[in-house]
Formats: sequence, C-alpha cells, structure tokens
Amino acid sequence: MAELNIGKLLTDIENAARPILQRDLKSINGFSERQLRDLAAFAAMVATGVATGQISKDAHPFMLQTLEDMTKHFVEVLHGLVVITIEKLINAIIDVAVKAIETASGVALKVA
Amino acid sequence: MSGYRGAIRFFLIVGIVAAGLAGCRLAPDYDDEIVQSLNAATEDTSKFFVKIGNGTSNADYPRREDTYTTLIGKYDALALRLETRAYPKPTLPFVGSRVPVPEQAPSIAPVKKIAEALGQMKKFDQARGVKPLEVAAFRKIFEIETRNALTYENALKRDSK
Repeated sequence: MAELNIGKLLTDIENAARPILQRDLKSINGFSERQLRDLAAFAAMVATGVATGQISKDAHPFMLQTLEDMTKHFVEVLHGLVVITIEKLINAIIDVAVKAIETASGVALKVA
Repeated sequence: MSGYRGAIRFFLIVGIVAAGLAGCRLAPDYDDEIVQSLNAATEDTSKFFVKIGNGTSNADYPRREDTYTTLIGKYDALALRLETRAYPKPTLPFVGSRVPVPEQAPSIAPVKKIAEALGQMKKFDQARGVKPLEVAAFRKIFEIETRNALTYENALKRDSK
C-alpha cells in the first residue's frame, strides 16, 4: 500500500474547490446586487405612492409588510445559495480524498 | 498510543469513503417540472401586468376575474408542490451541527407571496380598481419574488461547469 501524498492531496483539494467558489460567489454577488436595487426601487415607489396618494391608504399596510417579507425572503434565498455552495465544496473535497485513498490503497471504491 | 492513532486514521478514512460514496446532500434535488411551471406562470403573469399597466377600473373587473383566479391557482399549486418535495437531512454528523441548513426550500415563501399579492390586487380591483402606481408596485413584488424563487431553484442544478 502506497503512502498518501498529503501535499498533492491539498493541491488537488484547492484545485477542486477554487472554481466552485469563484463561480458561485460571482453569481451570488450578481443576484444580491439586482435584488437590493429592486428592493430599493420598491421602497421608493411605495414612499412616493404614500406621499402623493397614488397608492391608496388601504394598500399601505400590505405594501409595508411586503417590503419586510421580501427582504426576509431575499436573505433566506442567499442563505440557501450559500448552503448549496457548501454542499458542492464538501462533495468536491470528499471526492478528491476518496480518489487519493483509492490511489494509495490500489482499491477502486467508487463505481463509475 | 500508536494503536489509538491508527484507529482514528482508520475511522477517518472509513468516514470519508462512506460519505464520498453516499454523497452529501444539504438541499433538495433540482426539479425541471417545477422550474418549467414557474417559468410558464411567470410568462402569464408578466403578460397580465402589461395589459393592466395603466391601472384598472372596478367597472370592468369581471373581465379580469378569471385571469386572477387562474394565476393565483398556478402559484398555489406550485407552492404545494414545493412544500411536498423531499427535503434532505444532512447525512454527515459534522455538517448537521456546523452548517445551519434551512428547514425548507427558501423558494416556497416567495411563491406564496406572489399568490398573496395577486389575491390582494384582485380584492382592490373588485372593490375600487387599481391605480397605475399600485400596479407598478405589485409588478415589482412579482419580479423580486420570482427572481428569489427562480434563482434558488436553478441553483439546485448544481452545475459544475
């Protein structure tokens, strides 16, 4: 049984994790910017509507509650996206580790 | 001491191999039918908002009643489908305690909110008509919540390219 090459294992783990992090963080960033811009636009729209009467009084409570709800949903989706990224990272790292064990032991553990 | 270390190494390797073979799941599987249904509902709702962009009068509300009912029904059905989709529990013990995994898909609440907003708009339309800026505000709610839901559902594809 060959020894596990820890240095190579660390490099392989880094190479597996880096593209996942780069791609996912970029898309999470794009999503956040767009949602924050739209949440601000919605808040401005409601403020104008309330001040000018273009949004009737009976609609005020719903609009204000919705601003709060949408902000909460945005944060929950962000959390969900981060969890998906963590899942991808865990699987990529474990995949690299299993391959290293296979190489060192000479035993195929995963069925392709 | 060396026996103790050997045992730790053995269990570590067995743990990694077992986890690697099983695959770690922290979020539900991607469901193409859900995404297609959400896309179809989005298209229909967008068209409806274009039609009523200048506001509505309650005098001709009956002409829109069926559209409201159909759209609300679509989002209600989608929310039900999202709620009944299997949601995994973390299989790795160290993940369960260290990563705060959501208890349900975060796309459910945005879809429910769209149905609620359409229901609220329907009530206003029937009672007094909807002003143009109110239509714009409802449309913005629909856009923000659709992006919330679709972004999460599409991320479940877990593309690695």
